[in-house]
Amino acid sequence: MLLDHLPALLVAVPLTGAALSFVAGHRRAPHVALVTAAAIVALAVALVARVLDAGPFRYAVGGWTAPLGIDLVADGASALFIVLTAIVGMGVTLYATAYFRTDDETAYGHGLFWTLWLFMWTSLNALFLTGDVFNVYVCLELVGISAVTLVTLSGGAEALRAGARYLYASMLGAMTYLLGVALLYASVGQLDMTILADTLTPDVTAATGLALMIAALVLKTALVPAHFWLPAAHGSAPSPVSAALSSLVVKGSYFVILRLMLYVIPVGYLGGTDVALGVLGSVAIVWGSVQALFQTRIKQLVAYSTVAQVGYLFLVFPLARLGADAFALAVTGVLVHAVSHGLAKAGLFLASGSLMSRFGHDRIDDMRGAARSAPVLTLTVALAGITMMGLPPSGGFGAKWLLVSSALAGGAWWWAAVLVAGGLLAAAYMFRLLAVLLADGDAVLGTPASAPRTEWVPLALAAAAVVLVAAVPLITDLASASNILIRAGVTP
Amino acid sequence: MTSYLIYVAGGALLYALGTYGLLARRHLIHKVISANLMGSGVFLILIGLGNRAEGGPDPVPQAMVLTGIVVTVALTALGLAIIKRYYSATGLTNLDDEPPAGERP
Repeated sequence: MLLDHLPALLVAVPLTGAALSFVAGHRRAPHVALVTAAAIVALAVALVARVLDAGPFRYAVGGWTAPLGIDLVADGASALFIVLTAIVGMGVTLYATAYFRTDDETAYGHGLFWTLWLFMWTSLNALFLTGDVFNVYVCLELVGISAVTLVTLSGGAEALRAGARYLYASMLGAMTYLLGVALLYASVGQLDMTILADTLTPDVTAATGLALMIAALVLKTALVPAHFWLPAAHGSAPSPVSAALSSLVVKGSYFVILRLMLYVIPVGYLGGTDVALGVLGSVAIVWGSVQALFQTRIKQLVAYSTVAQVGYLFLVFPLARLGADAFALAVTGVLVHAVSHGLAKAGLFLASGSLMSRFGHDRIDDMRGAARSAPVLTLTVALAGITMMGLPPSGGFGAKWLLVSSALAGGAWWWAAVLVAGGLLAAAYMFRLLAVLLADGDAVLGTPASAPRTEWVPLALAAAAVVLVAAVPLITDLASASNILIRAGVTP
Repeated sequence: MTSYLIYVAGGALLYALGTYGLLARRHLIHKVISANLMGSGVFLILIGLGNRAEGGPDPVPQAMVLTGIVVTVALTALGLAIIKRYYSATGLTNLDDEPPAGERP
């Protein structure tokens, strides 16, 4: 039965699409990408249905089971990230069909967008499904190589510079992660996450290996102070690429940290790493927001907002150590946050891209009065802002509610204080942007909107983030079908 | 037998040297070479640690090294391609100097 092969199909279908889009030529490549995206959405929905119905399952690629082969593992968390990638990916694909058409088709590299984008999608799906720590390395590098190339797609000096810096960070992370795997394997002799989780015993070599792996993943997730490469890379990439990077790619490496910290590594195995990650996350929320407040270019502001929003993802680690109730609430909350940030940030980056191509520049202060001539885009920015600030009824509100409940259930009010302060800081930088857009002004739009979908795709994504609170029960079900909560023996 | 320790120690040294070079060197190509040194160090460690068991080497680390080499070659090729384009766009060989004004993607 075909549906038994869902995990393999979720990798094989985008991979086939990528190869086809390369031979199809730049005129037909967008159609190939759209068909592929639609197929992935269907497969992702089928995966969610299957995981909700029958719980997590393993898929032995080619019939070779672990430890000899490499198993794919589909659980509630991987299904959730895959469906998020599918929805955002569909939006990015639709938007890109308009975005790249308006540009000069002979421009450097634009014809390659479709192939690279589908390769990146392939690697992300593989990353969310893999159950093997070495396979994680391969998937991370595949994501990294396609992401760096996508950043440099425009061929401008600034993009190349950002791409080079991104590549060096990527190389440092890759080699460090692999060194960690080498030490871990030398100590335990296993690479499968489930087998590792069952067999890890206190050992300094294994602990050093895992610490190196976590450090490398933190660099790839751009947690402060390892965020130095992110604003330039996300800010100077073509807008559909910025959206995919900020909304999906940072979640890829984060997903691995989540699985390692809460599933593979026993409590206390790495000392105070969980609290340290939470503290760095709190610093990221403050530092990223303050930096966002002082940016003068719109995509730089949005990129620094990603630095801040990534911080919330790391609050789960200290919260998860505060007892069973706090654990379940924190994991559910962080999953809701990942989805709502993914949707809102994609919408915000795509809307910023449309504003930039309408104005012909990216200076925030010269966009005064944009609301009158570009009302849909301004509305999109406002809706995304609601989620970033965590106002009800948005997904951001649902996430913060769960995380604050977790902190209070665990008796650690200071983490709740960080969450509330983060919401206020997000309000500061989002209102600064909105105030300019809504102000009276004589901003002249350079060119009319190229296609309606450059406005309604961002709007749909941002609106989805706002109504996401309705999907919290579904995400809770997926969280309880995740191996993390099943292994810990708690239900939300 | 402790001959594997020579490989592990040598690998650790290469990794440390490479990390230093990647972070401290300014020239873009030096950075790429440093990253390759890091990679070689990790590969030596993998091969060395895989060779300590009685009864012949463990094949799994060797498979990992082969995969790692492929990934490193791809990263290096991409890095060199980006450096080449960056150099022809700006005439610069490092990321610290500001590129000439007027270059916006």
